[in-house]
Amino acid sequence: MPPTAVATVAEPTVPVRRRRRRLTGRTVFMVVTIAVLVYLVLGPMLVLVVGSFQDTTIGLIVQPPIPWSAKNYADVLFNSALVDVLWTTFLFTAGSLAFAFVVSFGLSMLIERTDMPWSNLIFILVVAPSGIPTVILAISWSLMVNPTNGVVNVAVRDLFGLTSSTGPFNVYTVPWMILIQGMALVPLTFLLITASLRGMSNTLEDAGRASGAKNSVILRTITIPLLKPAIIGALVYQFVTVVSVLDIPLIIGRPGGVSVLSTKIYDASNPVVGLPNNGVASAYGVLLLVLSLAPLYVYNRIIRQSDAYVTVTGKGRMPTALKLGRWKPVALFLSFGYVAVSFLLPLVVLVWSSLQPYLGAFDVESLSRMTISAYQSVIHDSVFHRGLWNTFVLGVSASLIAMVISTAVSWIIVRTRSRYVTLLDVLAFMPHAFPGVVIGLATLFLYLLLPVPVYGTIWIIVLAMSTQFIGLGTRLTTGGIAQIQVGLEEASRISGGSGWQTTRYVLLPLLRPVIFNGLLVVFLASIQNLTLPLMLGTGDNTVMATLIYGRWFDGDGPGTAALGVVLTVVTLVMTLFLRRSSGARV
Amino acid sequence: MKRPTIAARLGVVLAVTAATGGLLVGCGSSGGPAASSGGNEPLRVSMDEACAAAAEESGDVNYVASTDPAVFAEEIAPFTAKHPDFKINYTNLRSDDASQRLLAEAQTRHALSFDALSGDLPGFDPLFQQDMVRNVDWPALGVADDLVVKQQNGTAWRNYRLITGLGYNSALVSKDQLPNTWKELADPKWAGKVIVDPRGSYLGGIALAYGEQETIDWFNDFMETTKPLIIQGATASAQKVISGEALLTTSAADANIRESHAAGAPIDIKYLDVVPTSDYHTVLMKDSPRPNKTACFVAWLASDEGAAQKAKLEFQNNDSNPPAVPPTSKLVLTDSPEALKTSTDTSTALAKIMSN
Repeated sequence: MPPTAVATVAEPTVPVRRRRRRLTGRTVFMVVTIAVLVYLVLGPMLVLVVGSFQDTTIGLIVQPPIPWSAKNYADVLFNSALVDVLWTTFLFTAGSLAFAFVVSFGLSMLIERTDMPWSNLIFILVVAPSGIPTVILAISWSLMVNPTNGVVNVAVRDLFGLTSSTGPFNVYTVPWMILIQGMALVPLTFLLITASLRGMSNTLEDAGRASGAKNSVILRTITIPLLKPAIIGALVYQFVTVVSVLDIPLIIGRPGGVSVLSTKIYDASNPVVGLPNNGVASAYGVLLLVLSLAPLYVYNRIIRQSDAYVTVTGKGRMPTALKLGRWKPVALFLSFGYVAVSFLLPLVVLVWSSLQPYLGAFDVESLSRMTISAYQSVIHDSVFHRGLWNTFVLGVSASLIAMVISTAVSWIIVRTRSRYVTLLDVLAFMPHAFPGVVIGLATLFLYLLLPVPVYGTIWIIVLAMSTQFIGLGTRLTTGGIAQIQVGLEEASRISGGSGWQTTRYVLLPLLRPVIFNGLLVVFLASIQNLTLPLMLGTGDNTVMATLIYGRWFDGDGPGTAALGVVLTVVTLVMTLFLRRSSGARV
Repeated sequence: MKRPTIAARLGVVLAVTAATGGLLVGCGSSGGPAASSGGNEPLRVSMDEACAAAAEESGDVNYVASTDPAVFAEEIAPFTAKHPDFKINYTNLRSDDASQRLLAEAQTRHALSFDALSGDLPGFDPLFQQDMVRNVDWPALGVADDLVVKQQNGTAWRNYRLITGLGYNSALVSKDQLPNTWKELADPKWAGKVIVDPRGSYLGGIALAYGEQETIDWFNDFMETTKPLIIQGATASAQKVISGEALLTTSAADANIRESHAAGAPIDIKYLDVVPTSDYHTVLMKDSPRPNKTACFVAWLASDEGAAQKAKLEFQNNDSNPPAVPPTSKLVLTDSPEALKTSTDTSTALAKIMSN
């Protein structure tokens, strides 16, 4: 209809009464949760963006005149050396993710869905490698598979009478990088998948079985689709982890001349002398964040259809174990075989290293050199006791804070049907894409400015660490809450239960496996993290990671290994404790 | 009327916190340059005077270096025995991390966390640029003139001279088999058996004897001929030589090698025709509220007793002409801005060669 034909009708002047909205507990909860998340994430985000657009060769400047520059983006985007390594980066990323997800899914299924014996022990041993410092893991692998005198290579050469003085295996190549990085990803990926699998009722799988479907069909058409939120959540998270990971590329890749994107970024942001150029690292962080937006969007679309993934309803949900029958020995062989390669072998090297006067060849002669002097040196070090206590406080506090915030944020993401909750998830995920130095610097500036007396204490590291791992926590809790039928919470409210009572007596008990796995992963990630304690540490808030770094930097290999053994024991104890607390079958 | 959506609420929260964030950036804008910009009158006291005046100053001395805390505690035990009223808070940090922290504190007008720092001079460069380093009359504190460096308005005292040689596995190679010059190291017989650091920092100083281009040409030849293992850090490199995975390392800092050797490890060092050096320094912060206390402590570190403790426990010596270097070798120093620039530029070029 042409505009001229529109008849103007005067609307009756009815006074518009603004409906006074009651401030409900739910509203307060959501506003507080969002405010806390924004408070934690905004500082690092500002530092990331500001840092990425300035010349940081003399440090991050927040006072005018700020040396604004777009050079960091130019360095990252138009660096031909970066383009050269894209294919290697793709192979490394895809390979290690594929390895980690296949192994993690297989082990999760065996432990949570079958009657495989010693499943609790295997669970603990699968998670345990995350307690071994990466530098020791890398040393273990180079001692075993280096082409010159690696134990495996020497044994194979002797066994087959090979005359070559090197090989046949070379650990400093892409396939070995994939294998070692893949194994390094398994503990976390395994915990992310297991949490969801444990929380998932097997009613549908039982129904499938009752209708005569084979296990492979049930797996393909029921189990994997129901785990989609957890698997995609873990995939998005671990994708960013691998693209930004530095340890394996530097320690295993570099000696063989293999470079990936993160190695190049490290080179570009670490000049031969002077301060690290955090601007380049920030620009890379921004790009990484942009790269992860698309998979995050897909993930959130899936989560918004949460009804499709509900398996926890008001009906009975006690999982029944699938009988392995004659496959039991095979399952045990594969599980223990993996554990032997990923944990026991490096552990043997770790313990052996800690009992040597220096880190030498891994041979029979070394048995005669064994000494406990590294342990004596470590235990008599007064800083060690403070470091151990601080590490415990850090791990427990950071995991509790991160999981409380993650659970609250995930509840809003899953239970609020607004399409804008994707923004909230992006906000929660952001810290994972931020380089550690960015979160460290942001936390440093924030608590120098705010009159909160945490600067120089362990609590500033706790706050930084909680921020860093909210993205990790929400990968677990979002998928976990999506599995719980909203009707259970509604039923509680209709029966007169308050929001808190519903949370305490309905939601949290059902989420218990997810929350305990979350506490464990954040605890382990926090005690391993080195960047934040280094940036925010003083003599008073020393933690084990900085002690290990100090010993290694100082050339004390056995001392580093002895501290690694202590950290591995802490990991085992915490894994056992949280595994039992989560109500696992023992 | 429609209820405000979660997005609207999120918008309000974002706006409020963005304003807070703006405040974060804006806070700094009220105040001029980052560090205190007043004059930098020299601190001119003797060690005795500094220690006597220290009684008037409150608080503990906050000191940064990159030594293990347990080793450091043992190292300063004679000092703390003499001065039981002094408490030294030690933090194990690299100079660039410590500088970054102090720059942040200065920009936010926060009291400085550290009174004195030890580390490499380039890591302290931002502190000198921001006039945050105290001008200390080091000779008055008992430090030899040739150990003092002046940069902008501040001064630094050299506490350790690292000398670089060729580290080798003494159980698998005899000293006689080793090359005598860096150029002889570019030999196919060492193919796959030698280690180089990816930062090029241990070898950049060779340019002070060979010249920059000749060093780069030699390095290209060396890379092509020997296909070295690229390993970052002196500790990791030494570990690979001790284990026999590699026979030689070019990232051989004297202190690391001698410490491992003393522990019984089969590793030793040979000095070739050119011996690059790296100097490590100590600086006092200009805005430290306890300059005398800090000077008293640092003067002890610089004393014969302090130097002996450092040599004994960290294997780090401070000789201007290290006696271990044979007369046939040329010791090259990076003790002037020009020499440091040549060394750094060459290291950067070598790092680029390895990166490509």
